[in-house]
Amino acid sequence: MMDFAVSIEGLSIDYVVGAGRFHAVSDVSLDVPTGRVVGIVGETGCGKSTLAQAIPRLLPEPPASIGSGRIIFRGMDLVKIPLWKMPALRGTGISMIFQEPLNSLNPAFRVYDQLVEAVRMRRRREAGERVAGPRESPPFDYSRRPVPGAVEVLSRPVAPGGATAAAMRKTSSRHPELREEVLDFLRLVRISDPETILDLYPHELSGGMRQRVMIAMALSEKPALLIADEPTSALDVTIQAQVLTLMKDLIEEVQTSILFISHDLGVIAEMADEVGVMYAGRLVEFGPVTELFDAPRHPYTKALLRASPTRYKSDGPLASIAGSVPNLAHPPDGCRFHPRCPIPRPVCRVDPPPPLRPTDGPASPHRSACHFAQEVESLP
Amino acid sequence: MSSPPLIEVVDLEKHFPLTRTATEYLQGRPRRSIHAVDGVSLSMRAGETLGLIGESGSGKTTLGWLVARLHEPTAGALRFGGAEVGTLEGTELRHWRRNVQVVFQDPVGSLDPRLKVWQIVGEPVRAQDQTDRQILRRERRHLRRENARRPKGEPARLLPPMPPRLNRAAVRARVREILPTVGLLEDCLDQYPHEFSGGGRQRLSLARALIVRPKMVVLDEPTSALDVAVQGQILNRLVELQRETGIAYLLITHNVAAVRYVADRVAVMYLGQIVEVGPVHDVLERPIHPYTKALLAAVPVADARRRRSRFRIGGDVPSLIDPPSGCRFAPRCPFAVDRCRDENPSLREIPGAPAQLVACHRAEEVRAVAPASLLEAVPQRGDAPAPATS
Repeated sequence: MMDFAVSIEGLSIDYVVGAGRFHAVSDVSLDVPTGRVVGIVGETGCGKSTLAQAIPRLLPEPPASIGSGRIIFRGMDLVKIPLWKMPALRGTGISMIFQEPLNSLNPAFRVYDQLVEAVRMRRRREAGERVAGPRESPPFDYSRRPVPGAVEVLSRPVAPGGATAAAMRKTSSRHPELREEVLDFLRLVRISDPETILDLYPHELSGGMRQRVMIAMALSEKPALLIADEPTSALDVTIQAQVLTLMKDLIEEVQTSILFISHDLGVIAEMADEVGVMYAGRLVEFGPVTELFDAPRHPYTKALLRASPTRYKSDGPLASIAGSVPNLAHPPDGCRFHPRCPIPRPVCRVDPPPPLRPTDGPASPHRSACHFAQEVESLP
Repeated sequence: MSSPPLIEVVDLEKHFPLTRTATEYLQGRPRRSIHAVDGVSLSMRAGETLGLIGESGSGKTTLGWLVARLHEPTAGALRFGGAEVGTLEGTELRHWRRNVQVVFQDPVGSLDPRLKVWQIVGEPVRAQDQTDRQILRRERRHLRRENARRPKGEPARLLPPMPPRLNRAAVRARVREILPTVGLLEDCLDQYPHEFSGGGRQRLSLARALIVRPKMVVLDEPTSALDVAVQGQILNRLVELQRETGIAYLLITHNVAAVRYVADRVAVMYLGQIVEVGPVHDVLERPIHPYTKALLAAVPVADARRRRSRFRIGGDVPSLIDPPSGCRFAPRCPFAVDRCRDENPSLREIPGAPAQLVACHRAEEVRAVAPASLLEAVPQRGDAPAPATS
């Protein structure tokens, strides 16, 4: 009944390197409902970025390898699609915003040239042209070789009968209509003087501006799913607040689903409708934002919430989580959090908890992967 | 208030000159400069923590480096324990450095990957030993000359003995002594920095600063590269150390939460100037300057009920090259009037808030404005239907 923009089922991702096999993501199941914002929060190295990059298959494979699981997007399983076919799919439904806008913009091109590329690609695709990524080998021809239905659906010409000459001309990067559309996207992200910005290079923009340009670029593909991987971590607080405000407004305007990844509980609390907490490659808790922040059902979530400093020196020492994140090459047996858990039981050392069970009644949207989820509430 | 300030900074300025283009040179245009720190005055007492908050580009790191004399001030006075140190150089400067040490922001970049722990942490000891010996050598040379020139019959003055150079074993012993105080194990002397986690590296950096027993440590974003859980450990350790040794901290950070927990007083910087300074509780609970209010309102809080509010301060931080005349926050300030754009306010006391100094023309009028009013609640969109609820 529920409509999902993307649905991840039992996804496991390993990094195979000389030092061993690192289980970066283990058995993660996650649904992003259409039009909602799902936040993922966790410490460095918990696998949240790996998960984000696995969805559009941007992970370098190798060293990464998707061991098992499915990523269902528009009815197709992205895990099963061969990598060489991915360029044709990228930008047709999933866009991504990265953490460091300076690293994700090309320093050698003006803002206009970078933005127009995305718009042009979309227009050419809409005009019926077959837009291929640079790495599309072996070349394939839809008329001769039947390909999985999904790919065909995505590259189906919007204008029946293929592209007309007029439509093709409209895709020249200097076409005034394209310029106008690029300006529209810049206005959408509240850039006050878009005409000037167009002719600047990324290094001439401030951090907040760069991230706005990145958001404009991501939106210009009109994605069904937007993955934001720490989009404001490199920004200052007031600029971060501006960008978050902008994203909140855009959520209303463009009606896209967002997977929002951050290490900052505050940012997640402001942005997300539903929140997943990751620890050592596992999703340990998932629930509606208010319930999860008010009544966490996993000891790790509780400890994480308590560790964010909100007190003065005179109020006594800060809470912190003892120990450190486990080595993912040899994760602890049983529950991965048990070495740092305040309520470890013998069963936690042996039995890994089943992934995410509802905590309050079978229909509860709040789910936790703790054997003793009911007891978490009584923890200090 | 009776104890003399440990560090006193008066109208300190640091301008970084820019190079002129050939055209500018031929047109005879004056050299422009980046006004990184522009007329800052503050003082710190021994054993106190001053939190310096501000956004990137506000000059807080430059100010920290000036206080540690890693930069030479363009103008203004920098006094340490009453003595001017802004003009120190050479051996005297090196000798003074044992008083103020720095923990740098980047825990990876500030540790030499080719050196072992004992070499990294022990480096200041060796440097200070070298400086001591240099001073001693100079003293002996001076005495020797005096002796040679002395009138006949007068007894020669005794030269102070030259101690042997600090050897490897002595340095290792000093390092072994300091490591437990920052929560590291003693047996990691021969490890390399890459074998440590982010928190471990930051502890190494702290050990390196503490090993010469400074009176003050400049902490430049000590926890911004760390996760929340580890950040708590480091901040706790810093506070404990201060209780044990009475060391003073200048905590430079953009992280309001860290300042709240560690600092006794807070100074808020914007575009090279201090806009508000006062006790931590007063400034964070009852901020007066509009920028402080904006900064506090912008910090995301891990409270799901405050969500979906809209931040009302627009604009970017202006350039530090030829900064705006008048109040530097005026272009973004929601309360700015014409006077703010013309006249640069200086720090002053506000009636009713004796502990706080504020640089705002309209401080009395905006005082009552709560930071939360800089946020505008956004109508909640269909938040109710959670996925699995029937």
